Amino acid sequence: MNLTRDILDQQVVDRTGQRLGKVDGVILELREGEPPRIAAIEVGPVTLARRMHPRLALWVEGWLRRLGPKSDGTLRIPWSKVRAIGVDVRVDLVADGTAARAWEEWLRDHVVRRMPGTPQ
Amino acid sequence: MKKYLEVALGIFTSIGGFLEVGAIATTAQAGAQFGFRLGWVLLLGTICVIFLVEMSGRLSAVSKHTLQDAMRERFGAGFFLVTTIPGLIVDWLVLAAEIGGVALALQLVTGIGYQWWAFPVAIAGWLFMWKGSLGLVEDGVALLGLVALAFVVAAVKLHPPVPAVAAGLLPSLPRAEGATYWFLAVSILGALISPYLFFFYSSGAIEDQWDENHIGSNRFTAIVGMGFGAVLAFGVMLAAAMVFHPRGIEVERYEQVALMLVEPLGRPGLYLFAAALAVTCFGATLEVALGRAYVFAQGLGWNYTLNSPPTNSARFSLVYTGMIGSAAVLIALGIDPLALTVFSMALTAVTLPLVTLPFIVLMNDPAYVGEYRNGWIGNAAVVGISLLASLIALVAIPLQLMGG
Amino acid sequence: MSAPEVRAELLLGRKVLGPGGRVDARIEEIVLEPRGEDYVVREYLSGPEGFLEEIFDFAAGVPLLGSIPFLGRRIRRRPIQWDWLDLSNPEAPRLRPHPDARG
Repeated sequence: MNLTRDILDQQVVDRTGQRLGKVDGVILELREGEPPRIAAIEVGPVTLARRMHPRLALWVEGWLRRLGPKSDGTLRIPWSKVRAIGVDVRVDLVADGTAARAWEEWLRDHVVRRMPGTPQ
Repeated sequence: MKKYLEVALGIFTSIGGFLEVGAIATTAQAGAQFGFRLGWVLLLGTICVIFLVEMSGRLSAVSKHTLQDAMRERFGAGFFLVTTIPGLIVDWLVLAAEIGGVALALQLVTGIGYQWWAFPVAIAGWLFMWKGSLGLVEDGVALLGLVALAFVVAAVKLHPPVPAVAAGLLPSLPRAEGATYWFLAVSILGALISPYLFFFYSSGAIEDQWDENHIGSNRFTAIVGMGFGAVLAFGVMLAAAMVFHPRGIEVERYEQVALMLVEPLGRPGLYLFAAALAVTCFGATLEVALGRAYVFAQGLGWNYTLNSPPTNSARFSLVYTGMIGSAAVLIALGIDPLALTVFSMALTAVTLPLVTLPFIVLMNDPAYVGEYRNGWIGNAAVVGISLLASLIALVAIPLQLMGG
Repeated sequence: MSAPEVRAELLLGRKVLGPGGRVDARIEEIVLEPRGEDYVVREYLSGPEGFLEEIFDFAAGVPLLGSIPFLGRRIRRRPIQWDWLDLSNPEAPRLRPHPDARG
C-alpha cells in the first residue's frame, strides 16, 4: 500500500457513511530498530495549511481558535480505528461531535438555522 | 428509459454552462462582424465540450467520485489549492457577469436600471438553491430555457443562405481585422468551454447517484444536452449575422443585441430576447455558484448536497450563499456587465488547461475509470483539447489587449 | 504520544541528504506493508529531480505520449529501504551509509 496513492488526500467516511473530511495528514511513529509504523491519520484545515507553509498553518489555527466554536478543527484518528482503505477511507467512529465537525455544527446552529426560510 | 430523462441534467448544464451571457455576447458580436465565418469555432467548441462533459460523467459514474474529488486525491492537496484559488476568483467574476446578464434583461423590459436588479436576482437565485433540490433546479431551468429556442426560430425566419452557413463551418482565415477575428474566436471558445460546467455536471452525476449503468445515457446526455446548447448558440450567431452584418452594425450594447430578435419576430422579439437572456443567465448563476461550492466542499472533504436541507451541509450552503451575495455587490455598484463578461471570459480561458490536463491522467487510470478507460479517440481528443486550451490560455490576454 | 513521531505529509517532497551531505533525491512515495495489526514502512521511493526529469516522468505515464521513444524513457530508481533513512531530524532526512545504497 502506498501512502500518497492510497491514503493521503483520500475521502474519510465515518461509520454512518457521512463525509468527515480528507486525509490531510498521516502520523508515523518512529521506533528503535523497527520500521516506522502508521500511528494515526489527521483531518483538519491546519494540517492541510501546514503542507503549504508552516506560517500559514499558524495563521489559520489562530483564526479558527478565536472565532465560532473556538476549535481548530483538527481530528486525529488512531490507525486502529481505520476499517478499510478503498474508494474511501472508512473509520470506525461517528463524526458528530468530533473536532472535524465542530465548524460544520456551529455554522449550522448559529448561522444556517437563523436564516430566513430554513426549516428547524 | 428513465435514465434518458436525465437528459434534463444535460440540457440544464447546457443552458447555464453553454449558452449564457458570455456565449450570447461573443457569438452575437461574431455574427455581426464576420457573418457566418466563425461558425467553425462554435463547432469546434461544441465538440470539445461534448468530449469533456462525457468524460466528467463517465469518471463520476464509475469511480463514484466527482471530478474535483478525483483531482485532489490523484494530484494532491498542493494541486488542489493552487488551482482552486485562482479558479475561485475567476468564477466569482463570471458569477457577477451572469447576475448582470439577468439584471440587464430585466432593465430591458422594465426600464429600471440593472444595478437595482442585482440583489433581487441574487436573492431569487439563492432561494432556488436554499429551498430547492437539484432536481428542481435542473428541471426548472431546463424547461424555462426552452424559450431560448426563439433564437433558432428567428434565425430560420431570416432565411440565411445555406451554402454560406455551411462554408462558415469550415475553418478559415480572416480577410481583414485579423486581431479582432482571432480575439472573438478565442472568446467564443473561452465562453463555451467553462470549467464550472464540468465540475457542476460531475457533481450532478454523483447527486443523482449515477453508476456504470449510466455510461450509455451519459453519452447520450452529453451529446444531446450540449448539442442543444450549440444549436441555440448557432441560432444567435445566424440571427446576428443576418440582422447586423449586412448593415455593418457592430454590437456594443445589449439593447442592440435584442434587435436581432425584433426584426424577424416583431415586438414580441424584445420580450423573448429578455426572457431568453434572463433564463440562460439565471441558469448560469446557479451553476457557477453551485459549481464553486461543490469544488470547495469536495476538495476539503465536507458534506455537500442540494437534495436535503441546508442544515445537513452548512458550510457548503454558506459558500454558495456568500458567493452569490458578494458577486451581486459588483453589479449593484454599477460595473458594466458586458465589460465584465468579456474580461471574465479571457480569465476563464487562462485557467482552462489546469482543468483539462488532469483528464489525460484520470481517464486512463483504472483506479478511477476501471475498464471504461479512454480509447485512442478519447485520448487523442483530450490531448488535442489540452493543447488547444494551452494555446488559448497563452493568447487570451494579449489578444484582449490588441483586439478587444 | 510518547514515541517520537513524524508527519508523513511533510516528509513527502523533502530532499534526502547523502552521506556526504549532498542532495541525493526527493522522497516521492512511502511504501507500506502489513505487519501483524500494524502497517509499517517498507521503503521510500525517490522521485524526479529537476523540471526536465519531471516532464519525462509525466510523459511516460500518458498512453499516447509514452510510446514516443524519446519521451518515454524513465529513470529507474532503487527504492530506499526503511533502515537506510535516518529520520532523527525529520526536516533533513539523511541516507545512512550502506553497501547497497547509492552514495
